[in-house]
Amino acid sequence: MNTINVISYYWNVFVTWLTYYVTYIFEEFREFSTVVQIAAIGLTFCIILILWTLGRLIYQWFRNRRLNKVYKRLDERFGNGVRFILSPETKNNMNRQEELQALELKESDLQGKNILKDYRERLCMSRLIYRARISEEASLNRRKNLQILLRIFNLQEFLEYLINKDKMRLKTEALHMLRAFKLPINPWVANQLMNSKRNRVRRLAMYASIMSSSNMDLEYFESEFFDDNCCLYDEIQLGYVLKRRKSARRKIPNLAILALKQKNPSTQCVFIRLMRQFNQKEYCSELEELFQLNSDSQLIEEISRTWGYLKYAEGEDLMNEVLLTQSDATKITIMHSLTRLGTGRSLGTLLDSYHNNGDPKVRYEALRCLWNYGEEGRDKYYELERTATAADRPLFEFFHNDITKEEIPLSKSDAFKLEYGENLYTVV
Amino acid sequence: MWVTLYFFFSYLVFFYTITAMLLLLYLTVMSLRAQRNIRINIPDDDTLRYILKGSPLTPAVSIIAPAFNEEVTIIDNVNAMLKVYYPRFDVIVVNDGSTDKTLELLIEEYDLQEIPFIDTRRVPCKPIKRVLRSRDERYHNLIVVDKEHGGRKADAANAGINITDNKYFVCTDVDCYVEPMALYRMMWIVVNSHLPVIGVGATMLMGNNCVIEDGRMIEANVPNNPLAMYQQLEYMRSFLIGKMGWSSHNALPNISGGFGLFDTDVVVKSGGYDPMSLAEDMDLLLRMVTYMHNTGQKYRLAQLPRVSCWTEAPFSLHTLYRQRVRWARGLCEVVSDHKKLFFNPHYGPVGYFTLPYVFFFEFLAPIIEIVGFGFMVWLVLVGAVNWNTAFVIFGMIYFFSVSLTFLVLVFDYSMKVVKWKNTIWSYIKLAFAGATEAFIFHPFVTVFSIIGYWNYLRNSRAIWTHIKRKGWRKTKTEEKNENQDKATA
Repeated sequence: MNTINVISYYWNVFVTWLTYYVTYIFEEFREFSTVVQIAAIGLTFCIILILWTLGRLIYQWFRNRRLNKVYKRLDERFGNGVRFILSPETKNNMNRQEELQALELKESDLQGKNILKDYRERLCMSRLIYRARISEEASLNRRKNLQILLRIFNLQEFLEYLINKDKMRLKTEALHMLRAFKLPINPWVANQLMNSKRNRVRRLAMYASIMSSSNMDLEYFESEFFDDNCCLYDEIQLGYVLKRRKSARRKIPNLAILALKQKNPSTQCVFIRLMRQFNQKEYCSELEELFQLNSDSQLIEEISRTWGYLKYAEGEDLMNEVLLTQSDATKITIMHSLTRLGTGRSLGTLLDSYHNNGDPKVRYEALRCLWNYGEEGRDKYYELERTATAADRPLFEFFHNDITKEEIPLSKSDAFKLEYGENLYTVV
Repeated sequence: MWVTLYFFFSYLVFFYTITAMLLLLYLTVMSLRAQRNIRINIPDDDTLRYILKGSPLTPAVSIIAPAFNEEVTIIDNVNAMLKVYYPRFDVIVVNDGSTDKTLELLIEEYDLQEIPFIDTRRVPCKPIKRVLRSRDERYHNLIVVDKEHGGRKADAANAGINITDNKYFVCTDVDCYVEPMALYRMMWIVVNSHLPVIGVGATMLMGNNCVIEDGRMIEANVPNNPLAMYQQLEYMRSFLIGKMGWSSHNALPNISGGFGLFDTDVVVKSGGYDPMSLAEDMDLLLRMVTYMHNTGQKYRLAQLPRVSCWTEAPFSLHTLYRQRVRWARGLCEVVSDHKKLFFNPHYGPVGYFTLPYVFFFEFLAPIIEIVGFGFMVWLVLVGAVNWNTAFVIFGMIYFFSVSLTFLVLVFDYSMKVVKWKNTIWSYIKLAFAGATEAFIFHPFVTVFSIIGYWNYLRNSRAIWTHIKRKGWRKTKTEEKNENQDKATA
């Protein structure tokens, strides 16, 4: 209420001055034309703008300088200690005394008082620890050390105070820190943040909550939270969360069911792609109905890619059935998936795609699939090459020179996985 | 009749100026809004790396850098590009038939060898002679494309697009220095958007006085050369006010050819860069927008305020003349080629808002300025000037341009667009440039634009002129060594 009063007071002062000034200009330039009156008002406005920007620059410069000074001072005093406590060479179960020693502090320094005096110092200290925590040299497994460190400086309460602040930048910064520190958020505050009108805050709050309390993550997945808007950032975060469950040897949820619970096709695709990442072949059958009844080409491509990659041979008939009615791009994806399955049952479909398609790109990809479809496929390829007409000959010549003909393209993330094996997520 | 004409023209110019000022003010407010959103949504550099580096889902990016006779800076700049922080990227240097030692230097420095390739021309370009890759594991992500000289940057960029197989590519010039965190920041926008992002622009500044050592910029300074300094200010205003403002409406008219990220598929489907266009960047973006609207797809165009790329500004009046004449011709081409987009609501805000603005306040501005100046001279000669009125109007226009400069400085400081080596001195220089630009730099630019329009009307042959480079400023140690060498010699 107080703030509103202050704002309305200053607003009234501003309007009074503005009215006074405009009246003054009109009175002063009464005998001049409207053009001059407008120009005079414009001129004064510009001068006020210049003065305001100058004032703003000077204010910001002093404010930043002060904050930088505090940060530097803290870095000089505690920086090495903090980095030592969080470094991979240090043991993970340091006790309070050892940490205090590393920070060159005594227990008596802390008794009955906070070592960080004001808001600025706490903010800078949080940033210092956060940077040390997420730097490439730091080991993310020094969680116990981190918790004691945060307790020494009483920073957990401070971060909770920050997420309750109105300033969005500080709020999001604090949520990033909480996520990295894996600190629990007060459920009431978390709930409030997850209902925020700002999409970014909702998401950050959710990932911070998931990271701090691993028991809750499934509830978030099952909610319809993602359905309105799902972007690559969500996919990346979901990947981290699932990987975290996997490293903790906890069950990975049935991603096919989670995909079915969503309404938006692009969100469904996210879960289906993650099925490939986490080798969920056993749940592939759940997607059959979705594959048959859905008309979204992106979704059909993603499902067929997943079936091909996970070698779900039961889906082969469905893919053969759907292939004929799809667009060229989708046809190519399905053909590659059939090749990846390599059961020998889809040879006819591939030959059909070569013979009955007008688009040279589809025909070319059909040739590539035949080439990679075992011995039988390669025989068929040679047969086609022998009987090719003059019009088709360039296609075979081009194929002959293609150094990538023995590769069946996957999505980028899968290719990356094949290259780097299981060691996918480095930040957990 | 002359009196009526006089009043009509005076009022027309006055209200034209007022409208332009109001629109610029509106763009400034929109830019402020967009910057505030970006400050909230883009976390600090450490967090960006922390989140994106560890995930295999982070999209891969190609940096395409066309090079023609760049022997002075090629190695420094390719080194800088290879040192960009990003988990999955490759650098595709396209040697556009250089006649100097550009290719030889590359082969020698990076131990390149020829690799087989398929010439699938998804977008038009002159034939590719060979593709080279490094034997050295340290440069595994460097690809050099050697092609026939196409005469224009667009042709070389298209060759790079034909070679890349990544979903996104960044098109830059090989004489540019790319900021190490640039890709992370740009991809963050892509990763966080709920709509497909087809293009992201980033702020580009003049690096004439900057110091680069071992592929890293160690000093960011405002250029000492007056021409480059004025251009610095001009670029800052254009990126931080104009483009940021347009981006808040998803109506960017242009993503700079110097540094911009694009969706490869959309670029290929839109036909790639037009090798014959002199404003290939604006032309490409407008074709991409046309394609997206014609196919009924939603999209997002974004602009990043943080500086991502440094280029060398023309430092002599002659090179500036050639550059600006080319730009003016390019603008004429774009206006003529994309006239169906103007005032057409089918093409969204780009059609009904941005392009009319570009036409009235960028294309027509030099003509109105020159005519207005001639008119003023005539009035002075016949003694018909009301000096009081004239001073008030000139004062308004002048102080408005100065206030825009100061606003840009505020944006620069609050958004941490650049980390200047000496902030106060840099701002004093830029403020001085802002105060004198209207009298020293702007008249030249206006005249060069008019010459460009005239050349276009005369249909004279357009040549893509190559700007001579000096290279980056040397470090003190390098200068010392050079002096010692000279003394020894």
